[in-house]
Amino acid sequence: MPDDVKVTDLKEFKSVGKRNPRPDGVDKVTGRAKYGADFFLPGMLYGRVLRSPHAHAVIKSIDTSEALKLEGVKAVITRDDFKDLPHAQPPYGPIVHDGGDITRNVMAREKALYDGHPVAAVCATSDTIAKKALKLIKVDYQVLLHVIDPVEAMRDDAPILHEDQFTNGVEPKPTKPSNIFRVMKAERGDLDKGFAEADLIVEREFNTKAVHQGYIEPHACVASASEDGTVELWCSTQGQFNYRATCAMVLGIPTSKIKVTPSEIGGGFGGKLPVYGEPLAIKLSMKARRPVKMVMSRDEVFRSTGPTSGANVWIKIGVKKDGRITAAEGVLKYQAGAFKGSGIGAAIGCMFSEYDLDNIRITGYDVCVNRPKVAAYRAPGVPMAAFGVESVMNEIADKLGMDTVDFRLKNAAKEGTVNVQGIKYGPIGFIEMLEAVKAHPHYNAPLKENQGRGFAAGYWMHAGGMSCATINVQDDGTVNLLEGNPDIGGSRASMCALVAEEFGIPYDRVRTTIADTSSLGFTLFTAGSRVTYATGMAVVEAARSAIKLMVDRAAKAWGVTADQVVWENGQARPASSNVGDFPPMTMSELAKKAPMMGGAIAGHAEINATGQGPAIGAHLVDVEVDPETGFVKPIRFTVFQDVGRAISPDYVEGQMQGGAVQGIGWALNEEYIYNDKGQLQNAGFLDYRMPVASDVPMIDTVMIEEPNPNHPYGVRGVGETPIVPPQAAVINAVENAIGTRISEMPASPPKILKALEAKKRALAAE
Amino acid sequence: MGEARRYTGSDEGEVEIDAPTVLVLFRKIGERYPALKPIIEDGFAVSIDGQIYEDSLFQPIKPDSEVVLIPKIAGG
Amino acid sequence: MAKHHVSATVNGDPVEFLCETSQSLLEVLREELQMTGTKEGCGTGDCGACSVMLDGRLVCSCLVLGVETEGKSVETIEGMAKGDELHPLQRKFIQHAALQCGICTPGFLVASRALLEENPDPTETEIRFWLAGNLCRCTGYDKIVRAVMDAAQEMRESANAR
Repeated sequence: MPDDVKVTDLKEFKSVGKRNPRPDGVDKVTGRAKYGADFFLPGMLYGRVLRSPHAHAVIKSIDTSEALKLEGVKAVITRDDFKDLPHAQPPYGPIVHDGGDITRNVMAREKALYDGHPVAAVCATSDTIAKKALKLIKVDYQVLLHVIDPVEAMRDDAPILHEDQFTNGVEPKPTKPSNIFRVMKAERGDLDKGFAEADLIVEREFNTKAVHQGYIEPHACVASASEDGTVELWCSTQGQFNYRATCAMVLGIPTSKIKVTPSEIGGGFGGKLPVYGEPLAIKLSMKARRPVKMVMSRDEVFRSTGPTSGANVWIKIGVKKDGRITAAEGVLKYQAGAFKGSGIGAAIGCMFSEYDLDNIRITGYDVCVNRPKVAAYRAPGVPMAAFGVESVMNEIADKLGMDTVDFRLKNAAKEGTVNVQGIKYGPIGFIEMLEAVKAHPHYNAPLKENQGRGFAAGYWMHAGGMSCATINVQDDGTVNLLEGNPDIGGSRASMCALVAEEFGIPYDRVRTTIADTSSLGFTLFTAGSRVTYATGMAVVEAARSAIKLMVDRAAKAWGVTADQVVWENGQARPASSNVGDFPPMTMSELAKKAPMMGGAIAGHAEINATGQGPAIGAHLVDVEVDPETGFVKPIRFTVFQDVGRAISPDYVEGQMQGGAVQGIGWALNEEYIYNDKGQLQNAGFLDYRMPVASDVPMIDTVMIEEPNPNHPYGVRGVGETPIVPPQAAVINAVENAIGTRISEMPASPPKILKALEAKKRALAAE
Repeated sequence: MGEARRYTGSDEGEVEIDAPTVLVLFRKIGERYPALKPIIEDGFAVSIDGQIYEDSLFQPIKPDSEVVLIPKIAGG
Repeated sequence: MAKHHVSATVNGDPVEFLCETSQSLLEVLREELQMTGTKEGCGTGDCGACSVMLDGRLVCSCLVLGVETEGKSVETIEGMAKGDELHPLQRKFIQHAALQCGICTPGFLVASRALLEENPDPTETEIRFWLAGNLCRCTGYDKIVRAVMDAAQEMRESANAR
């Protein structure tokens, strides 16, 4: 954290760490809360998008004339309405922002690159007319061969998505275009020496499928463009400031001309970080001179918004007989989707990082394929790699005859461990967490026939970044807090608790508003597990700045200096009886007197939060396998996580439980299914099978609190870590239940039955 | 230097650079390794004696600090 | 194509609206009546976010046509609280933190109330299977099930007290 931010002096908390009712709770249980599609403007038109039915095709021409003639249609847009933007050029940083890619994903230019790629859009006086208009747009496609598997896309004879893309990170520089955007490597120590020293080496190849974040609210926005060149956008987003910047770039207008107001958001998990329909709605509104509402259907969400990468993962680990790892290697081949940029970098930084390893090498390939461009899904890039690593770790423990948690303890990172990126750890609670797993009653509970237990650990490093906060003390002494993060998981409750704690006032005397882009300084998105950490830091700073102002006023009122005044429990009082016999001044008093003492009482902070540490978790799960149907039912699940300090324990538990269940779906049922034309076959919740209430048990949580000394309240980001361990834990449990190794996800019933059959045959052959 | 090593064109894992702040460090690295110059401010964070600093150009660096260049952190 | 004129009852109030043949009850509620508490998650009856009661029966409003409600009674989330008093389920959802983003919450509340009207003392398994038609991506269902069980208990106790 900034050097002037101090850890709180408070030893006991009144609001922080309590189960406070969330301030938006009543609106959400009554249906009053307004999400992206719940907004209406007078004269509003309805926007719809025409999408390519082909996985890979040249767009030769688009004829919109018939659509424009349809009564009720007010505007039609195509690639001609958007300026081309330059592509990022080498050298490429670790994260590539490519305007050329972004504008092409919003509206195709030369080629359609996936089934669902936007090709044109219309707005009309009713949704029915808009849909009719789409049917009247004639697009002349020249269908090309397509490729959706990353390993196939890496072959020399694969259809090429981008003729101007040459693989980065290989020497000599290639002359033939490739679907491989780049190769990333990280290495530490002497891998060959490490493997030479090993008593046992296990290597395995894994395959995972693309899975979608699955937020229940489809993308939705209303855009209103004015004749003076300004634009108002109301939308469901994880980052209104980021959306403003991206829309401005795609539309070629200054950011200062756009005001983005975030609605309540019905889930995101990283999927509402990129823009989709928003620039289209704005452009349509500019042309039609009326507000335009654009809401995606569920079919469009699946076909056209970023899932996470499916992957081919190869892991090789060598150990000594005593369980000490001597070398670890990984090769990752990730689907990036139609445009470059999968989570290879994060995978490399995290997949082995909870372990103390001397010799590591990881190679990652970012591969373009004819699928929607991937978007972040909670710890983006890491779960697939962790699935491979933890599966091999469990296999090694088995082969060594060693308890699987003891094997982790033998290699656990601790304070002073250096990871593959060269980061040296401060205090981290991994060993304490592993001990907690072993001590938990779940660990040794008896299992019945067809049941199995699985375990996995996981590492994630969360973000900090820019956050702003403004506090205004009302004339009744209550506090209005303005912060910039859409509330996905209950963060408003935590902000209210932190501010209430700083002021020493009851929780319900703080009210939090989420700002639009005109009302607050730049605040980075609600993602990266950063909100309670970074915005929490900002609101604490803003509170302290308001307190300082009130302390100064009380001191002036008493004719003493500020250091002779103490703020406690919502009031200013003399530091000791030596200072004087002044009765304390409460917030309400100071607020009422504010006009006479210099003006309204406010505090603000604009920070870049730093000092975050690792966020580590471990999952323990029991499953029961039905040998006749291959159906796998998780029957007991315990999530362990180092949460630093739980400002709102209810919502920290919620993050742990939600991530675990997403992992269950990822491991057992969820996958994108394409036909041989590259068209998505299961673009709906019936056949894209996410867990329902009857699929899962209660999810028990164990929160370990090893406070981060760099945060005023010891917070660690918690939102994303819970999706890193569950897949390997569930698959490991299935392996133990059926007695066969499983190296792919999802381990859906047909695959389980096949594995059982193969095992039966192998036994019969003996 | 991990990921950054790709850009230095050498196998140097460690170098000694005299810099009082991250801003000066980045400038000097950019001078020594021209391939890193256009991307270092936008693409990299630093770990100073184990603590991560991202977008912190004015962050002071002590004379004997150990600094590691790491890629910026993404999230979802 | 001329629109249909429909008269129905929504949350006890008589309403009249115009709708096209193909418009679902969900669209009618949200677009014609501007009652946005009922949500669209999928439009194909797979997620339950659009759950309402139609003549006392739990349905997905995206699978009911607007014209089908002629003369019928619809109950939505907006009618669940009585004046200032939240339904015990609504209170328990807040108390148990049974919502994170909250988009699925109206559907879960309508569906849960229907369950407790039919079965005031459901087991955990019965709750989970009854609510299997309501998708939640944020909570993992744990706190939702606990909230329903707690609300059921409170409702049984106050029914017994009378």
